[in-house]
Amino acid sequence: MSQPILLIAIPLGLAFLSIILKKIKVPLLVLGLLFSSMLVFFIEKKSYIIGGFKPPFGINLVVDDYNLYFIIIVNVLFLVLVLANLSAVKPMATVLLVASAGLNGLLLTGDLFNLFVFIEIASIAAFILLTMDKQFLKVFHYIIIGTLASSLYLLGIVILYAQYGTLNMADMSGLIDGGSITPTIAYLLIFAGLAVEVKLLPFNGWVKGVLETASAFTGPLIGSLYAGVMLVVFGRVFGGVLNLSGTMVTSLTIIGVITLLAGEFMAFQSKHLRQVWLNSSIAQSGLAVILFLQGLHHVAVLVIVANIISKFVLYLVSGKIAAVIGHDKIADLKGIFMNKKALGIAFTITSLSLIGLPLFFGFFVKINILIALFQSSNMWIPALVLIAALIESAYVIRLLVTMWQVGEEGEKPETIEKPTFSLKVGFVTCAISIILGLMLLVSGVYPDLVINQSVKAGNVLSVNDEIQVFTMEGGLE
Amino acid sequence: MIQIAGLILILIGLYGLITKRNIIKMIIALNVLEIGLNLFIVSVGYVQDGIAPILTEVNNSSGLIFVDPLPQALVLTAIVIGMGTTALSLAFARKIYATHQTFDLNEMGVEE
Repeated sequence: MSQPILLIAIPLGLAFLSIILKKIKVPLLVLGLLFSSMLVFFIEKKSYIIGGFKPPFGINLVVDDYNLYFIIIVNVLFLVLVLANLSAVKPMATVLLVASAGLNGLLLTGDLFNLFVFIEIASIAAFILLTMDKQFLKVFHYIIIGTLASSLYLLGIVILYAQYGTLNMADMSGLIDGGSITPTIAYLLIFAGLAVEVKLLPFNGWVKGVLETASAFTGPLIGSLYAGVMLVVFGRVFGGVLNLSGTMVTSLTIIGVITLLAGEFMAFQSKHLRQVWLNSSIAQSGLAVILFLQGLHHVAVLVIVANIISKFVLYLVSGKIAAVIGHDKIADLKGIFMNKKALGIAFTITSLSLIGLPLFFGFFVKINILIALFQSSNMWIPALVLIAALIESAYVIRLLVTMWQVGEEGEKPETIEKPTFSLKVGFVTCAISIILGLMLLVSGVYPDLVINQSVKAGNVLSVNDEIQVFTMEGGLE
Repeated sequence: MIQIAGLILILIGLYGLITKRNIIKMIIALNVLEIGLNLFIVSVGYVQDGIAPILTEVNNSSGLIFVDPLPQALVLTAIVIGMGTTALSLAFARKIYATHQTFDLNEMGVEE
């Protein structure tokens, strides 16, 4: 039986080792990530006791239908990303190992304070990794707002601890369900703390500074993997632990809706490629938050999976384009894919999946969102989600037309000048983009497997009896 | 009483973060906020007339009143994390100073 604690301990151990053995730190990094990526396929779904104390007295790690597939996706994509940027990651090998431990910890932990520790570990690793883009001032803003956010989260869980006397997620969930008082301030503090990381308005000022200059390495890492993991954490806390109801759900949903619409509007107005995707990420986060708050956990899971995969490809390709061409201004990227059709097709498939065109995975995500929202809530949320989808389609199609079309509209083919630049992007980037693009296509044609898994994942948050029984036993192992 | 002191320190920290435009002052404000937070956490575990939660030859009865040890453990972790973040922020401050020759955001021409 494989112990998931190794997903945290091995990268952390190798990180320490890589400081001593500087010459082999890159092999150590690859070894650590390779080990994690293989281990994830052998983990059993259950609650793991750490340190011999049964929860709720001790810390436990939880592997269930909700987080298992995210653990697999994140670890495999992390390895792929590092392999695709092997030359660039050399100075950051130690930090990347810490980041891997932090992300795995965030996904696995079953304890609210432990979650705070992993948020800090993952954030500190992210701050250091972002120095690769040399934007120190912008990252400094992120440090300040990120630290403030985690402090608010900590204050929130301490208030909950003072009220319920536990920090274990499953135990807390049971106590909150059985309790009569709603600790509104604690909920709001935790929401504000997590909202910074999941990029909700008005807490997302840091995103623009950090992601608009992100490279082909930091873009997919922060914009896809970190964003996805933080949304999973948000779902775990607000879907599975805290029991929101009434006015609070409505007011927090409004924040989600505003984030969704503002994100799509800003993406529509963006003139630069990475700006479009960062605003689109903000919008998608808003959408996932709305779905979690409305109790539609299985659809939120679908949104997160689709967002991780599509944003991974989009940030990767956009980062490479910016590195090769020297900028990512959309107006100057006319016909850029004409000389690199395979990469263009992968980019196009991913973009079309994002807007939810039939035959692509995104279509099933969008249709499930709308069906679930229409069935569960009043009409205004699905109506606004539809408007957001419309705006999204408009700017994505406009973007694709620009990137494939050399001449102006109505211009005769013989007068059109061929693009002068050639997009020299390595084979690895092309291969990764094409494989992930194909995955979106295949899961669009055969969506049953992914949808069944997401339903199972959603059910874990709605009914977590299995873990509940286990954690309530208490005492020494 | 300690709880109120903690909350006041948190508010002073927040005030500092919102109003100050000097990077070093912002880091100090963040630290004030964290200290307030730590004080608040410790106060949560405080029990009137409680003793340190360690069983010794003298204090070996479960009938004694102990303070809650968990918030103390949480604070220890939070202090270490806070120190790490402060060290990292100061490293960034140094880098920013090397680029802009100032710690003041206004003088750097930053709009935020």
